[in-house]
Amino acid sequence: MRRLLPLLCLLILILSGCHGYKEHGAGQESELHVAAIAGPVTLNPIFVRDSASAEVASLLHASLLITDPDTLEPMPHLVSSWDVLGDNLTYIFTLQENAYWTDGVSITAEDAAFTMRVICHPDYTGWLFLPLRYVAGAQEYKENHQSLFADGLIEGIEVLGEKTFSVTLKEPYAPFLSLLTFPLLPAHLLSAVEVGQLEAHEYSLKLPVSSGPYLLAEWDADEYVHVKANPDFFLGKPEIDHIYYRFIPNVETQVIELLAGKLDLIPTAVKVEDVKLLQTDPQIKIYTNPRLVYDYIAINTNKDSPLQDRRVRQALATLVNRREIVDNVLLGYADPLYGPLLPLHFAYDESLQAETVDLAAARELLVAAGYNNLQLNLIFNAGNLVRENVALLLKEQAAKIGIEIQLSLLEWEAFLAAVNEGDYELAILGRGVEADPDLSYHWHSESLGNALGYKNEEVDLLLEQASRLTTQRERTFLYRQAQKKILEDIPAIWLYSRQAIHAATATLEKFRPHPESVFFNVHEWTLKGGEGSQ
Amino acid sequence: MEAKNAGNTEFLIGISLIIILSALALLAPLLAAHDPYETDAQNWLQPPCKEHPFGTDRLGRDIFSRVLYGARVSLAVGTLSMLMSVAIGFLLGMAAGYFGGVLDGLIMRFTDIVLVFPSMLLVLTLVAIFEPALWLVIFVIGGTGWPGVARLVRGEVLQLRTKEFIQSARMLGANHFRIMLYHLLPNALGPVLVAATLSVPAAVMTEAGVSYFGLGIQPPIPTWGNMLRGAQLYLRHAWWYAFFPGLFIFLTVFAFHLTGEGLRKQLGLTRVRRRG
Amino acid sequence: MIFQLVRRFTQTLLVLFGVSVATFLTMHWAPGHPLQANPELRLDPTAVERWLQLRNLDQPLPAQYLSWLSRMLRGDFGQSLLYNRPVIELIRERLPSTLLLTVTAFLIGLFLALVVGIYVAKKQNSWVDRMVQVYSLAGISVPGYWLGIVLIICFAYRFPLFSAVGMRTPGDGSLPDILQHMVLPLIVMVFHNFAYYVRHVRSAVLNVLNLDFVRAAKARGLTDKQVMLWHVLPNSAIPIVTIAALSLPVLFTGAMMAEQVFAWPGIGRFIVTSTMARDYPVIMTVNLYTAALVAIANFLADVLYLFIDPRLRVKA
Repeated sequence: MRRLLPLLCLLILILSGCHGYKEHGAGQESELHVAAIAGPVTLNPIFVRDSASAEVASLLHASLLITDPDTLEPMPHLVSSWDVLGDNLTYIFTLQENAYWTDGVSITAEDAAFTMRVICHPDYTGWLFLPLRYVAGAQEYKENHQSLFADGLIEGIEVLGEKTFSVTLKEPYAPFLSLLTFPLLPAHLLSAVEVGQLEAHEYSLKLPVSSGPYLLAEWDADEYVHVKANPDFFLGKPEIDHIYYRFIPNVETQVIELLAGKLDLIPTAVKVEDVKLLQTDPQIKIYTNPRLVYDYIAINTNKDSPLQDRRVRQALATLVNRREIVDNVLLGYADPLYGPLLPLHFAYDESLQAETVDLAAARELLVAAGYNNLQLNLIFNAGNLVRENVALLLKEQAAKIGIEIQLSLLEWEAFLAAVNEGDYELAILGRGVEADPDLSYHWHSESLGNALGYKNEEVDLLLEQASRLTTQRERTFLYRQAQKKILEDIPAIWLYSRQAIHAATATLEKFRPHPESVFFNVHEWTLKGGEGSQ
Repeated sequence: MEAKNAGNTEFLIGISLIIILSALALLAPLLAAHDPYETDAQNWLQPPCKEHPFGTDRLGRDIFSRVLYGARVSLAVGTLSMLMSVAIGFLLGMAAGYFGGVLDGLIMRFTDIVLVFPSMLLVLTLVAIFEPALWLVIFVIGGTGWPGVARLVRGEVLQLRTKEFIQSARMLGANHFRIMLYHLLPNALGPVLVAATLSVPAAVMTEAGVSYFGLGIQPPIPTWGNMLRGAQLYLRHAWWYAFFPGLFIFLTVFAFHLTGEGLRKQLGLTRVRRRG
Repeated sequence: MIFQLVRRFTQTLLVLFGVSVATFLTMHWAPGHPLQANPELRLDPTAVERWLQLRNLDQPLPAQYLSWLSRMLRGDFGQSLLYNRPVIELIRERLPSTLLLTVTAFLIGLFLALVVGIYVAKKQNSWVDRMVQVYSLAGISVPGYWLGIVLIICFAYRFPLFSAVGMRTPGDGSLPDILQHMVLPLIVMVFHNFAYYVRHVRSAVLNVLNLDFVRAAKARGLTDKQVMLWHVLPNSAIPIVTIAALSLPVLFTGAMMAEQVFAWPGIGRFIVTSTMARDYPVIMTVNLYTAALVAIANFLADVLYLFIDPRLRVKA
């Protein structure tokens, strides 16, 4: 025993000296270590379903278009330019002249047509069909295409030249361009693969050929994805040579690793409680930006309950103190939200801002509806501390006017089942929305995404009208009107839209996160001074 | 081997700890100065102070109160699943040992099957497949913790079965049930008591582990396991948040181990028991 | 002896059969469609569809079982619903890191337990012995994940000596780098294993020390060392080896805890995330695998026992 002790001490000393210090010395290749909660599931960009795969995809693939980080308007990317013909039905796209797959083959219009055929193929199981459903002939292709391969033709998609193609819609659809933000598949590699086999195909795992700023070097099951700069990237070779995308499930240990200099960037999900502390560290820089997500309380009006009375719903709506939630729970890193349009949307209505907490009025509304006291059930899902706190705050507030709210915290599966089957009275939910303010997906009565079963014919009409128009001014007017109508019906209580908070080493420069993608301009990032983050 | 009064100290320390912990759990509503669910949006992650001896969590809830209420859950899970394990184990072990033959073979193979699944993995799987809930956690831990007891009881019964007093009771016309109840049960009680005591910490540990993985009893019901799960997001901010729930898991498990070990020594039972 | 071997062998086969039935039935009775699970971990609908087809749900239960079993026996464990890749591949990728951690922890724990256990057995009831006895109970009472959390606070944050995350620094992966990452998870696992083994080593050695022939050997004037080496150790080796073989489930649980806390890229963490995602083929394969491993380890321990301990051969 006694002889072992010094040996042990020595061992500890030796080992603790072996920290993996990263050296970014002159002449050496630069490395950036990025934290992630989880690893990707697939590298195939059109089968992405989780946020980690989406993030990695944005490193490895270039999408057709991107949206401007401030205005969210469509901008050229892999598509270098486009024309819209007079009738607003036909778009002619031109691909970047110098865009090549990493095996040297030129990226062509045929790749674009192939990728869109895959997406419209009956066997395709990914999530990208929605933006293409307005393309002429897409629905027919999805319903009638016989072959197992993505061959044949879609009426509205036409290859015009090596680098140009046209897409014709069956009716004008304003958000169309902002939805063309998916990358392409290499047709020369994958056109001989059955669409049903594509997701499980080796391509999703090994990614031999891609088009983005970085190429896959190594994907280690539960550790990291290592990517290296693509020298032939059409916007020029990225400055940082290597990016390691590390999977660290616990956000707290992520920060510990960042402080120890073993990580350079924690994107999006830095805890609000950490910001103050990290800001005092001269080695670390904090970035924030708004996102296209929000949390809200869904009110079930399709079930026979006091909630079918608008006055009861309004009483509840006047109880919620969004400022308090944003200030105390989210420490200010969120925007209070009063309607379904987000501050990032061009149609956002700033006048919808007044806080309306008024207990006396709420009580009056309740009494006017004929209730002295009331029992309601609120469901929310496990594992989200903010929502848990919102539930507790609402319960406390509601008790003051005689509404007793029973909280039931459900595990995901049960929670989703309850929401899908409408087996709830109140539910706290979160959702992500598109860059375009088009409210149809969630609020049009016939949309698949209308999870609340909301139905208002006037709103339907306004939304249909708005998506056919092209000028932002006209569309803004209609969306604000639709929003007003929705708010009058109180199908939900909007709460807040959380911001993304990023913590990066101070040496990282030109980091400019996009509301929808951290790696938006990754090819421009640099590490200052050649010394690492030590 | 060990002296006759060996194990006294262990037993006494262990049982006193158990009594204190049970008292804390039972009297939680009286002892806790705060409602364990009451949030205080301003005073989140307060370090231990007079008002909050164990500090507060991220929602401003009093950790001391939550730990006390967590003790109720942990001890309830521990005790109830122990009772279930002992009941099942006793019945099966008794039946196997007493009747022998094919029944014995069947029961023992069944025991083997339950035994080869690492209990944590088994509980995790079952709780994940079905919906996590308090009763299910108890049910699953109790329903998988019995093989040890079954083997023990069977072993005892096998030894006793050939003893004279059983044979003579048999001769006198006592039926099987009577023999089991009046002759075998009292004699096997000692070892079973030890096994029962030692199955509580296993259950407490498993419940805490499953809750820590996020598949056990769900918040806001306070359990030590899910408190630790919440705490691991604030390791740097609040050591007290992770420290106290863990300390109580340790104290509880340790107390039962001490008691069981003390009992074992007092009863003069050997430790390493060969598998059936 | 042959008879007993055969008997134990058939028993083991029976157990393996039972394990497969239990696994199959659990999966069969699982309510809900796996696609409803956590949307954060999206499953591939084609994989789910294929999996549902493979299960032949339209056929009677025994037929379903048989087709499932035959696939298992052919080494076809199905595709992960999440990763859309063969489960066996996913496991094979993660197995080495789990083995690295678990085997090292096992060896260190057992070695320490042997050294300390024999030492305190000789000095029964000394203060060292008492300390070790208390530790052996305390060590198995500490939740591994909590110890891990405390270690992270102390040695990765307050005094950043060791890494708290993963198995290596990306891009490095040299031996010292891996060792450095292993330190904290190893401490967690060894703390538990050592406590678990030392109780058994101590009592195994004590049992032999109290046997007549050891006393006789002492009486014959052999030195303590000689007695230890020639008589005590060989005889206490059997129960110790058995205990080591039977501790497989304990090791597995320990690995699950340590891997989860330290984000170690192994089977333990994999099974927890797969469980959360309701990736049924993975859950079932890991269950089947570990259960079979434990059953086989038990069988080997028994065989060893039979070979070494003549008393058992006569009995029964």
